[in-house]
Amino acid sequence: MKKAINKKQNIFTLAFSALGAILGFTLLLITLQLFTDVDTIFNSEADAIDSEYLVLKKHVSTLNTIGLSSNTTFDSDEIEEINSQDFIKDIAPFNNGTFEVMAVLGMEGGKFPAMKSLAFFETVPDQFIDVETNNWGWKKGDTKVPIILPNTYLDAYNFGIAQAAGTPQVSKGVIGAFSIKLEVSGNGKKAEYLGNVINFSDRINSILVPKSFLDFANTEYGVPSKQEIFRVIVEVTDANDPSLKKYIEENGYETNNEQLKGGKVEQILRGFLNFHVLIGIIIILQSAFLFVLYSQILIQKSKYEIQLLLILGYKWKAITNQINKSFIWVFMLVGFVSFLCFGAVKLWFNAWLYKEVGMEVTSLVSLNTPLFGLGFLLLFLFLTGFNISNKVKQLSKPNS
Amino acid sequence: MKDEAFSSESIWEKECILESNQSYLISSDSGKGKSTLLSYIYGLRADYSGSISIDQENQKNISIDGWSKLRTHKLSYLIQDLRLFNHLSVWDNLTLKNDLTNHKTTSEIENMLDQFGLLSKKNQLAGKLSLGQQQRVALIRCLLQPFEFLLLDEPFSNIDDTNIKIAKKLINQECKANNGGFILATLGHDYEFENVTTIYL
Repeated sequence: MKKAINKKQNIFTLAFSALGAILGFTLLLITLQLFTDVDTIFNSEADAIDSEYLVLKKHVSTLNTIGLSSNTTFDSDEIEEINSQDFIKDIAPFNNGTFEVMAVLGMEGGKFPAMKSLAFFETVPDQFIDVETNNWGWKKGDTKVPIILPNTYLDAYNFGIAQAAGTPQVSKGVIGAFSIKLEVSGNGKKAEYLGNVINFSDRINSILVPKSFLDFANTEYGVPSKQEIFRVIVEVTDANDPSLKKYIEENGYETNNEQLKGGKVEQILRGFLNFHVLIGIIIILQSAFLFVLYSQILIQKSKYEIQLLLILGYKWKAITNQINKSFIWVFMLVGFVSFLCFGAVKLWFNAWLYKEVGMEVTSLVSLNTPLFGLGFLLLFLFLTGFNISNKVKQLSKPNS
Repeated sequence: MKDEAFSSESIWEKECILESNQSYLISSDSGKGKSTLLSYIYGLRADYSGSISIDQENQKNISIDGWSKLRTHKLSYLIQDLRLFNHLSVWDNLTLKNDLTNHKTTSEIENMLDQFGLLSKKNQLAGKLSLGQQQRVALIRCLLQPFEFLLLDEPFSNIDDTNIKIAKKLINQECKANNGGFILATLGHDYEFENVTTIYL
């Protein structure tokens, strides 16, 4: 039966349809994979710059500097209002010290220059701290106070001060060897503590001490009633959420988180990818249409043979299956070649991304890409198969 | 069976029953509808009024698969224009039918070809054969299945007398073997068949 029908295959038309399908499939596979890659890239970037936590502050203008405006604090109503937003999961104020601190940094043996600087302390609830907080505690009578410093301080020293002063750079591990003398004063009292740097935080750009120490020092050396909230830390559901960005802008808050900009880039990129998917789907549908058209032409050209097989007693299903079989092979070839093309492009893209952007995408192919591809191939098969069986069935009816 | 249907008058618009263990000659001049009647019976055309029943079932109710079954078990048809696959060899044309029915062995088919003097043409393309040779191949093909009725539309129109004799012998043999009959459309020639009823159109 195969011999009886296949003679009418037009290799040129078939190859042309297959080429179109390969092009469409490759494009679609690439785009689908890019979707996953973009997700991976943005998620990993988001992790790196801590997208889920934002520190909000108010704009400090020249008026604030000359003392004409003091509206840079958050009151409890405002905090409540922020907390009621859908995209905010949690909020906490930065509690600050109201006493004077002088930090003296030095090292035994005098290898490093002694540095003395005014300092400030703040505290946030533990759940907002992004680093290990072992030994994070202080009780009255302790002379050692655990401190968490911003990572940027270490960077500033290593890449700024150390370079300028010609002193050695230090690693996070070595910093524990530094003794930071803290001279706390206020209310006519004075005390000395030993600061012990236990970690460096990427998230919080402030010198953190345990709340128990801050509360104690505020009562002892400061004025608790003078405590004001200049910054709040919020945990958000999605830092890329456009409504979050809008809310921050509308209320005149500021955040130093670059992720909000990333969100916009991601949106544009996703829009672009959506457009690509659309083009891929259009090409695929066009090639599916070509295949359907081709199958119709094939049946029309093989009308004599098909009718003769029916006259001889062949079942229409057997004839349909025979014609479908030839298409299955073509579709399998289309799928295979498309996947190879896609793989090649993906390898090239990964290499390019690594070379030009320095980003390593470890996964070559995500599972949903071939699954989608397979889905579309099945759609092809269904469309042509449905069309073929309909046409053969029509031919098997007696002329009336 | 209504006897008047088989009088010398036309059977159109009359009722008649064809018994499968009998044979019939449809005799008329050209253009009276011999081929049409056969294609009605075989289910290739349905542009008629009235009804045709096969084994008490109205033909118009028979499913597509039902027709496939009838065409491999009960009805075999030698169409006037032969309908061979011209791009296939003689052998492929024959096995295409026999693969479906498994009715004859290879040697039985070869024997039939041999009787018609066509064994040497076995691997030749059907389209390259003369009309007479094609007619004989088509005749062999319609004998490669069990049947109750063999529908033959001017089966000897291009065959010489010697081969007509061979063809008649083969047809009679197969009818006997299958306990079936034939309905043969002819332009008036009775080909000296015995025990046949003539139907006039």
